Amino acid sequence: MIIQEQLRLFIAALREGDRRRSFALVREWEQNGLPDDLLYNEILIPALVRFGDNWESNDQGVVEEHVASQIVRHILAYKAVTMESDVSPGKTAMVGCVPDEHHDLASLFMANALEDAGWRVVHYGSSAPVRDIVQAVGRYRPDLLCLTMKSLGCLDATLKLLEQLRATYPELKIMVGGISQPSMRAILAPHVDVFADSLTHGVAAAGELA
Amino acid sequence: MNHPGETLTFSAIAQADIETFEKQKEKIVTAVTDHLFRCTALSDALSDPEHARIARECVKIFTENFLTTVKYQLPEALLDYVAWLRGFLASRSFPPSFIPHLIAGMRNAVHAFLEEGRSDDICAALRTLRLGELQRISEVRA
Repeated sequence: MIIQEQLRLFIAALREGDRRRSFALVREWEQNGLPDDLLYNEILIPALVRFGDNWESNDQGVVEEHVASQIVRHILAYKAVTMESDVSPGKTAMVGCVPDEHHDLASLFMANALEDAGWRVVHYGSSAPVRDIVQAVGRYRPDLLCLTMKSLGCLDATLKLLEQLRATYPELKIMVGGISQPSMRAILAPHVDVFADSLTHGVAAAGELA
Repeated sequence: MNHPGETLTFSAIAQADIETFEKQKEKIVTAVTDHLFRCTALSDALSDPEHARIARECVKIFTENFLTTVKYQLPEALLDYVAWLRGFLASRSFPPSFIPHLIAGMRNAVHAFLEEGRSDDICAALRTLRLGELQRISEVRA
């Protein structure tokens, strides 16, 4: 089955809010050998983008968008639980959202993808304040901190976080995903080692940083 | 006429004025919301509860994003956000004049809550932004 057809089937299942069908499709493709990176990059992420676009254009309501997000969230949890990758000692990534950012699905994708690539991952999700993230970096001592950011309103708190992290842990490698605006990147750039352009790019860049 | 993105700049706005804006943010949000709900051109649209809810949320987020982009000198990011907002509101049958009214409300509020003379540079940026939106509306109508 070609990937576009798989995407079409998955979107149709999401549109119906059909959890069992969505999960069954993923299980079926998994049994047929579909790699996780293709599942993430060619099916799950494009499907979520489609639902986000449909909400923006008012073709679907926010509940339909949340239903799709929740199904994908469960699939990512299933993938995380059943993953059989070898975790290399000494490569730890801490993954989560910047302060004030509530859209945490990108960080879930990154957590799974990094684990798939052999990283030990500490995933904290969203809604963590600056001080707590800084303290947690001291506790978990990651080699890499992967932050995801979507909303413009998070810039202030993100800059505060990055300044504190750089002052406290100058050796920490920091990656930020979710920002494409060049002028926003320019503001954060003095504190960031790499900006992830996509999930695939982020995983590759993490490997080069560590 | 230039596209507003070519002329919008925040470089004249003093740090002290941004700090005052931040301190007065809640009052500004309330004043802008009141302005929109008093505006006769929007009364039909905002009589719908869902439109009214979206309008209130728009004021809060626009104010936050305006403050952030002014603070960090990011006029392009504000224009990107306004472009997104334009599409979002159009797909929900908001009148095209909603964003110009929103900006006008913010100009009034900034003028009211910042000391005399301190609001001029912020108001000038908002005026440029509003003119750009009005220009877009007239281009679409033409």
